[in-house]
This record gives sequence, C-alpha cells and structure tokens, in this order.
Amino acid sequence: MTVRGRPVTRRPSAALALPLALLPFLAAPASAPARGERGTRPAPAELSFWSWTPGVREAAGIWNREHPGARVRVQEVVPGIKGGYAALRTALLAGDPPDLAQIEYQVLPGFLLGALGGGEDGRVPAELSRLLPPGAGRRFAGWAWAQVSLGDRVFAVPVDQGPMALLYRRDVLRRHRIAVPRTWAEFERAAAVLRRRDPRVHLASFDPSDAGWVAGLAWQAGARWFRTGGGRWSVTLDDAPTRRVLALWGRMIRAGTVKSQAAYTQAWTADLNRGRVVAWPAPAWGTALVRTAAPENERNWAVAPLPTWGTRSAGNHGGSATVVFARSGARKRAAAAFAWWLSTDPRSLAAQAEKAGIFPAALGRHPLRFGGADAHPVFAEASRRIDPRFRWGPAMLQAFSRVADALGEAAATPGADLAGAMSGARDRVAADIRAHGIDVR
Amino acid sequence: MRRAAWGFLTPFLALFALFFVLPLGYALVRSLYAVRRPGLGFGPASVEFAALRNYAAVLADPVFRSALGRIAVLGLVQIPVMLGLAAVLALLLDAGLARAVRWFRLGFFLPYGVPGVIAVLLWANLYVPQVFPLAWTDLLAPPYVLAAIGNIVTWEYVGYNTLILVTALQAVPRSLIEAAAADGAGPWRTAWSVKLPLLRPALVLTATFSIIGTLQLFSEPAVLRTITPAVSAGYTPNLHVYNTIFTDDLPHLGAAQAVLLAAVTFALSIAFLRVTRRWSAA
Repeated sequence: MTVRGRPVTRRPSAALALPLALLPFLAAPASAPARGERGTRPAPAELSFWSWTPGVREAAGIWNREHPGARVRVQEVVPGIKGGYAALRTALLAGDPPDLAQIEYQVLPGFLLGALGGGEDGRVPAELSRLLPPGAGRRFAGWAWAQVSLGDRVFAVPVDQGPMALLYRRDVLRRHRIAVPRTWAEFERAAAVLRRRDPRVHLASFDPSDAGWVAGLAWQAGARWFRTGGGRWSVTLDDAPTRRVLALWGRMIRAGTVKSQAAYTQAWTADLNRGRVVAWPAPAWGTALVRTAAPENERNWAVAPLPTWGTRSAGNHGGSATVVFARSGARKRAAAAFAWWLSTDPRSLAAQAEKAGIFPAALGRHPLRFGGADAHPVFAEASRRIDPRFRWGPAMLQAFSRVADALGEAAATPGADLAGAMSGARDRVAADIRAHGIDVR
Repeated sequence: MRRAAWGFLTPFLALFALFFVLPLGYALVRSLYAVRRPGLGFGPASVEFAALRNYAAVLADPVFRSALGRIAVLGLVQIPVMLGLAAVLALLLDAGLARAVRWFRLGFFLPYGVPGVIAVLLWANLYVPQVFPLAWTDLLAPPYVLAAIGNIVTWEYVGYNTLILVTALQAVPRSLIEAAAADGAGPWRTAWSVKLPLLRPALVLTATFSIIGTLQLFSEPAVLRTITPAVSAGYTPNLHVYNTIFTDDLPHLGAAQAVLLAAVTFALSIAFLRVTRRWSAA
C-alpha cells in the first residue's frame, strides 16, 4: 500500500522505539531527596546531631534559643545496634557524616580505628582535648572518662552511664517473706524459694541476646573481656569471673527458677507488668523502662544494690557519649561546645532524664524518681565502684553478635552450658578482630 | 528493523550495565583487597591486595555455610508447598468454581501488596502467645522460627505465583477443555490431566523465581532479628553479607560473600532450568 507515492511500512520506526521504551521511566514518580531534611539548604551555622535518646531534642531546643548562631538540628535515628551504626558507617564511608553523633561506649573503639593515624579526616571522631574546658575529665565519672580517651587524647564527651542495681517488686517479695538478696548466693536461693511458693512467678529473666547486659554482670564480678598489652589485643571473654557469673545463671535456668527471655520485647514487658517476673538486675536507665512497662505498678517497685560476689565492685550496662565529626575550625568548636553543654548543663540533663531516664555521667546530684523514692544514691554509689580498667574491643558489634548467638543457642538447649559457650565465642571474636587486620593474641 | 531492536534494547542494556554489571564488577574488585591495621588498630590503616584470601575466608566460614544450608532446607520445603498451593488456587480460579472470582483473585494477591517489613511485623505479633491466643507456644523460638519465616514468605508470595499460573492457564486453548469435557472428563480430571501438564512451563518459571528469591531472603529475617534472639546475624546468606559490611565494617569480606552468593544463585538457576527442560517442554 502506498500513500502519496511512498510505501507505508508496518515496521516500527527506529526513531519511535527509543522514546517508547523510555516512557515508563518518565511516568515514574520522582524519588524523594535522599536525605529527607536536606530538601532546603540548612542555615550556614546549623549543626546536625544524630541521636536516639529521647529528650535530646528538647535539650537542643534550649541550646538553640541561647545560641542562635550555632543552632543544632537533632535527627532521630534508629538505636545504634538496630541500624543506627550501620547508617553512621555508611555516612562516614560516603564522607558525609553528621557534625555530631551519639555513640555508645562499647562501640566507640570501633569508630576510633585509625583515629591516631591522621589522614582520615572526617571519618573518625575529632580529638577534643583542646576544645573542652581545662580539667574536663574531673567533671565526669572516672571510668566513663577512661572510656572516651586514648591516653591523654579525648575523642568523645560522656553523656550518661548505666550503673547496675537490682530493681524489684517490694510487695511480691514481702508477700512471700523473701528478703532482698544481698549476694548472688542469696539471689539463687531466693529464686528457688519464690518458684516454690508461687510457680507462676520467676524471680528474674535472663536475656542471652543482650551481650551488654551480660557484660555488665561480668564486669561487676571483676571480668575484663579485652586487654591491651604488648601492642596487641587479647580477648578474654571466658575469664574466671565471667565463667562464675554464667555458671550461676546457667544453674538457675536449668533449675527453672529463672526464665530465659529476650528483654525489651512485648512478652518481657507483659511479664513485668503482670508481675510474672519480679526482679531485674538493671542499669539506671532501666527505671524509665519499668515506669513505661508497668505504669500501674510502679509504686510497688524499689531499688537495691545489686547482689555482690563478696567484693565492692559494680558493673555498668550502657551509656553513650557524643562524638564530633565536624572538621572545619568554627564548626568543630561549636560542635564541641554543644557536646560539652549537652553533658553538663543541668537543664539539658534534666530534659534527658525526664524523657529517657538517663543517669548522667557528669558527677553531681540528679534526682531519679523511681517507685516513689529517689533512686539516685544507690546508682551513684554503684557508679563510684565501677572498675575503670574494663575496656571494650575494636569490633564490639561483631563481638556482641557472637556472644548473643553463642549464649542464645546455649540457653535454648537443655544443658544450658553458658560458660562453655563463651569459649567458642571468644575464639570467634578473636578471629573477627584479626579479620580487620588488627594484631590479636 | 535492527535499529528498532537496538532502540528498544538500549534502555534495558544501559540500566542492566549500570545496576547489575557495574556493581558486580565493583564488588569483584573490592573482594580482592583487605584492610590492614597493625598494632591495636588505632594507628594508620592501609588497603592491601589480598588476592583470594577473602574467598578462602568465606568458604571456611561456618556461618556462611550454615546459612546456605538453612536456606536450602527452607527452599526444599517452602517452594513446593507454596507452588502447590498456588497451583491449586489457580486451578480453582480458572474453573470459575467460586462466584465473584475477581474478588478471590484480588484477595489472594493482596498479601503481595503488603510491604515486606509490615508483613513480618504483622506475623511477629501473631506469633507471640502473650498477644495472640492461637499461638500455642513461642513460634519465634528456635525449633519453629524457620518454619515461621517460611510461613510468612508463603503468605506473601502465593498470590503472586497464583496470578502467574492463572495467566498461564488462560492461555490453554478452550478447545482442549471442551474436547476433554466431550470425552466425559469432570472438572477434577480435566484439571489433573489437561491443565496441569500444560502448566509446567509456568511452574518452572515460578519455581526459578522462588529459588532465586529464597537465596536472597533478607527482609524477613532482618526484621525478626530485632524482635527475637533466635535469628542470628548470619541467619541467611544475604543477611550475613549485610551485617558483614554494615555492622562489622568489613566491606571487602562482604563483597567476596556477595560475589559467591551471586555465583551460587546463578549456578542453581541454570542447573534447575537444565534439569527441568525436558519435563517442561510439554
């Protein structure tokens, strides 16, 4: 068939092919800006701060009103272990980190790899010793200051800490005529007695997946999981104090006097609320969790010093510090000033304590209401007795995974040999550190 | 004609190169290096050529091997169950045995429209005895959690596979169905002897997709990991790769793992297609 002398073909024209094929892409919605809040350019002096602690936003609001030239914009991120650190690592890899970030003590050494090497500007926390007031270290709990320092170089400002004590249901223990245990031997006996008197109730639950909590208990017993000597690391996750602690909990799990359960889950919260678990060896910030988990029962709860192994030492679980990634002189100074303010100003600490129940790392009197009383003295005393020689290794996220997997598996098997599982975890953690190219024994 | 063909192919080839070939090549190159941090690691670091050392580490890694084994077990059970269910549903829909077939088709497909993360969270709540009475025990604990994941995956994708099979059934010539009816075959016999054999190519297709999907399983275990300790960091190969790179900060090792996983996926798909070629050439 011809039209005006030229053949009309039925073959698709090549010129039409390309635009037709691209049509679906033109119709696709434009993607949102990769960094959600960067849709509008931030004000020149605005510092970004990645944090997940409730109350930080309120504290930053106070700072912003008084320092309009150095405003801080808080970006709430997922808690580190659940993905916040992965996001931070990605940002560092991309060379575009926030000016400030919240990092927990145990993970800090992992972010300090290469910090003394130079040439990694913007990818490691800034060194802050010249930017903080003189004598800064004396304002904080000694062990917390040791966590943020490498020698006399300071890489973060401690914000809070988690000295451990025993939170317990005063009314339940009284009803069953059980004295508050002062030693772990008494605790073991009390757990058995309680189970006999009321089979529906457990004295406590053991969370094998919370390696930080297990570490805190081992810390109290005198354990030191990582040592640095002779220019290399040695991993001692299964040293004698740790084995002693895990043997105790393993015995209680096997006897059924303690239940093995993941903490901070719905099941765990329900148990606390309904009085099926009546005691919790908890860090100071756990008081806020009990308040939210068991609001009607909060006045029945009380706090006592953690049962001891016969020594006066205490353990810590949790706590974070603020690191500065800003590199330029003015931004770095402003960021350091904010970090210092966040950790020491009473209004900042009050806002964070109110929303997150944090126990500040800064020394001083900060009321901590719990169960109708002030829990601060108990936790403050514990904080004074935390061993400052406990150090974290260079690959703690991996190590916590290894420990959690090993203990989780052991707790689920009938034999519940928790101490033995730590030896396997120890070897894997050492291999992990070696995989980073670091020297380890 | 040739220009037209290239015109249609170019966008696909460009995107294929950009989003598949390039990243794979990048991962391949990265997997040949490793980081060295002498001493305690706080000093300067260097990236050195490691040849096949990362691959040796991956092959020796018990976590990676057990993750692959776990996925194999899951796939061997979950894929036949899901495809069997999808085939039954597709045959039912095609036979028009239900009224308002359209609504059933939509209903079966609805779970596929639920974002993966939401689906996992929904099921995670249903699995907890304290919350949902039909859960007879903690279904997120070790003996059950793999089956729990398989259940979620089946729920999510059975509708998708049903849709593919229904479409394939609609390509069955009606003359064959009528001939079978004329020969005295009832709906069951028709389904078994006429429709099902003609469904083989579509079944191979959905099975291949499912194999690839199972090997890449990530979001279900990743979300469950935040809820239950029964899901470890290396529960599935893809989760292991993700954690190696973004939690453990070992991008070179993770790249080697990813390349190996891609190779395994590729080999398994090719092998499966080869093995079923004659069977599906009905």
